[in-house]
Amino acid sequence: MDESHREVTMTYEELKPRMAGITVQSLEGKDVALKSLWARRRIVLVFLRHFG
Amino acid sequence: MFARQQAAALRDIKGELDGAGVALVAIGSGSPEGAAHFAKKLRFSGEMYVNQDLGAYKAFRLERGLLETLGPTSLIRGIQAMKKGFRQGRTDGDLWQQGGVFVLGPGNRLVFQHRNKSAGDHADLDAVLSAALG
Repeated sequence: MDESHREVTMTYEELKPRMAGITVQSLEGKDVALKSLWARRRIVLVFLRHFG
Repeated sequence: MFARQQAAALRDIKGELDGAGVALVAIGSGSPEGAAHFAKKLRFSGEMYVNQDLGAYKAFRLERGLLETLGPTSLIRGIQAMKKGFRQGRTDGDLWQQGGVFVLGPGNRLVFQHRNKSAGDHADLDAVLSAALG
């Protein structure tokens, strides 16, 4: 059953409003706006599961 | 264990990304201390951030749930990962949250997306590289 999910694809236009106000935290404890991570550069963004 | 496996695979393509000026950025659901420990242990040299309220995971519509984590496919992948030498270490973060890989930027560009359907369902790194370097 765990392979039967519908495939989710999004355009950037669909993603953009979902990111409003969302921040991530640097390892130094600083809040960083999510979308700023790729504002001026190309990135490979990896969402990890739990550390371990 | 699957995060370790994914981090090790990404470590292998970091040189090619660096050569093309593409940054490797990871977001985890655990604590900053857990992320630092994880990066050091796995020799992950990309940028690392944490998102403990899972807001970023939700924005990207990543999967989260019991079946996605403990389903039969995940268990088979777990056995395969263990055969390759990966072991579960101490855990820090949301146990039910799945991951994904995206290639973004600069600016309003989303050129690759892969959402893990279940634990251990990682993106094809050749496809990631092709999108990132294209």
